[in-house]
Amino acid sequence: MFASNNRNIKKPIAIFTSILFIAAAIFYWQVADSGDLPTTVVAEAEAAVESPPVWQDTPLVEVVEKEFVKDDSIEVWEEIQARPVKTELHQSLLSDLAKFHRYPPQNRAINSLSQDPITQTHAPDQRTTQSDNGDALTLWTQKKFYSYGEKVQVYAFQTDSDGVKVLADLTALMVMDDRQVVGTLTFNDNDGDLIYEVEMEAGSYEGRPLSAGIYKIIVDTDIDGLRDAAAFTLSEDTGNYTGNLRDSVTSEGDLLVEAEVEILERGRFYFRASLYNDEQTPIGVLQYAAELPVGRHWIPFEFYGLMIRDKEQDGPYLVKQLSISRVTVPRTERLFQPGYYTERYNIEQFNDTPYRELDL
Amino acid sequence: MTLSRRLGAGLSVFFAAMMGASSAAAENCYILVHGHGVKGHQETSVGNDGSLVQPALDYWSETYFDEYKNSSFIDQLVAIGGNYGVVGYDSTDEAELPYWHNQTSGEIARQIIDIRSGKGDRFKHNNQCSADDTFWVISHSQGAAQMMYIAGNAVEGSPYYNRAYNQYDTNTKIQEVKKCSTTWYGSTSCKKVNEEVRVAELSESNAVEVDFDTAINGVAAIFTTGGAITGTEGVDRICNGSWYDDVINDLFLGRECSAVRYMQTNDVYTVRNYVGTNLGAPVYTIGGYSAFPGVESASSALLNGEDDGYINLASQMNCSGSGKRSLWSNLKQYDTFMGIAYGSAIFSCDNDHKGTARSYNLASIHVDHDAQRNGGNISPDYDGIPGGLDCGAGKNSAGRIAACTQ
Repeated sequence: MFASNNRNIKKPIAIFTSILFIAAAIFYWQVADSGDLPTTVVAEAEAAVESPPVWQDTPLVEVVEKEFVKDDSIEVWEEIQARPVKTELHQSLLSDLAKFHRYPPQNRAINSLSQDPITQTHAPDQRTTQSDNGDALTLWTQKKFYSYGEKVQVYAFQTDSDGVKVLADLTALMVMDDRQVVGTLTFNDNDGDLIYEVEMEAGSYEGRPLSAGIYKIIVDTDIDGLRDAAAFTLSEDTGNYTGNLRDSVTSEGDLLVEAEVEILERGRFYFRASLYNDEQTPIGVLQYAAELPVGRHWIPFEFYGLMIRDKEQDGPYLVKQLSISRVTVPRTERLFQPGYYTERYNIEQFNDTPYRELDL
Repeated sequence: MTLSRRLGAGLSVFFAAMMGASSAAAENCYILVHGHGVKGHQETSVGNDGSLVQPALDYWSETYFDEYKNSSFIDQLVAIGGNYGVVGYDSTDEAELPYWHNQTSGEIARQIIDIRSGKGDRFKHNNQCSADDTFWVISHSQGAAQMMYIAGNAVEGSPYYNRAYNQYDTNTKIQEVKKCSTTWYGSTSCKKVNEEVRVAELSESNAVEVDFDTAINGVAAIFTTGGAITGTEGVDRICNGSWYDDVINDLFLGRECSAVRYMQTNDVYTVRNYVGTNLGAPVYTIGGYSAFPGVESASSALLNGEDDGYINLASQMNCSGSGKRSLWSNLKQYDTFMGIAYGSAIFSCDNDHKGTARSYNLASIHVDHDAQRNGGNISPDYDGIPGGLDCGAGKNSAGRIAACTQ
């Protein structure tokens, strides 16, 4: 299915890889029943991988790799591929599986700005509700995730049946976790643009401290039934990026970007990084999760070489967005836009091998 | 690390190729995950009339509306062959269980693993699945949110990888809080004290390891029909306190907000914010856009955009953006000729505008939420949508899935 771009690989490397593959296959065949193979092979292969350089005392996050699990989705691919008659769904699945296995699953190529999952997570949740007569209420908060002390901004406007903004008589109630009424809020339109606004400090209502949780601003109009709510989360700051980044090409031809974080509360954290050729041209996104103690750590984002090669552009590359979440409910998310460009790289430095070949 | 993975993958492909011929004759196994309001955790019992009572299985042929009586989603699904397994979990209002809970997603994943291992499901019926079948998951309504949580946390590096929780969304903690008091003459003094407070977060001690990876890896696809993937505006209205129309009380009321809280359409509640950047299996969405029959059709008037009487179409199709937005562009946006708008409405939720990875349109069909789970209305109208699949065109959800997977 894939037309691999392996033409640049040196012949000796190909021979060596073939020998390694055949030897490993024979070994697997001999010990498959014992179930020991994955750990052994993984351990040997990991021992051959060089560690990235450590520049400071900040520890690298220890990668705890799980035992290799046979990927049943490849059998699905084989089974569908073997069908003499394929439906449109089967064709779609083959295409999906080929794309999915082209890169490690922690990597995902993105083709437009709007597909960047970090952008999607942090995009304002603008919502419109219509009445029977076509009047509509639109509202949103500037952000969906707030830390204590940040400025919360809530916006609302009302339109008539022609979609034209009109004067509105809005009342608003702030509710915590759908259970507890915090108090009322007053919308103002100070600049006369018919977009009404409330500003408040996150974590405080009329001088009273507020608990972490999900907050809703329920907004009512003078039109019967025309009501909706904007929502945001309030959370403690449990960790953030320090602004220190570094990058290198690994021995396997992947781009390793490391970003330093400072963790303030022990726990499981979830990190994402999106890589671009420039501000408007995304390459892909990478996710990583780990249990971390308090302190500074380097988070390794290993962008798969082929994912970069597929965009056919030399570096430097832009680390446009980073996100950090403490894994809990409700979700806490912090966005960081470092504006960091990597070193200059020639695209030939990156590996051109699909993660899993499906075109046997 | 990566080298070892590539090597392991190569081996996997190598052996899959060697054994590929034997799996080519696999039968389809459809694993069904029900929606809200079912005591699906109850296994088989005998009713007063001597009939078997199996709530999770019965869900797929129960009908709220007389128009769909004697319909059966499963009968239509396996009419041309295939096996099936039914997953059951407690989705009642009383249980108030969100999608990340061990008794919802955790239970579903464990039962999927059992079905895929050839143990069969927990219910009495013919056509139990065997281990060498090709597996497809079909979820309806709230079941889709659970499946999204499982699939979105079945890939290494995902936030909730292989984990569910035995807890609701709040916890108690000892925190330092500032206490102030004011004297009669107006001065204020403050001090910091330790106090037990309720915080909105899950405790790691309540995390439960569930092997989502094994449950999902090797599932050919997940279908959602009438899926509440980004919630439903019906629940918004319950939680925001303006659901006033008695006509549709039977459908929505009686459900307090706490029972369905994480089915609101506000993004901070939706499952797409609790999954990773990749899914362990692709998701194909089927959305309904018909109002309910009779007086219950009033419910659609209270849902924005298109809907199936209960769930907004944008939510069913897993679209990016607001879960309650209109998907078809308004013709008012088009040019006019002598006051008459012309042009074609555009469906703004193609496969490049989904809320999660590996998510695709299958079809948008003119059925309501009830018919989407019981197979009522065998040959509904439909709209052509970008990226939609033609297999089974003209059939309902069960018929389309059967035709596309045969």
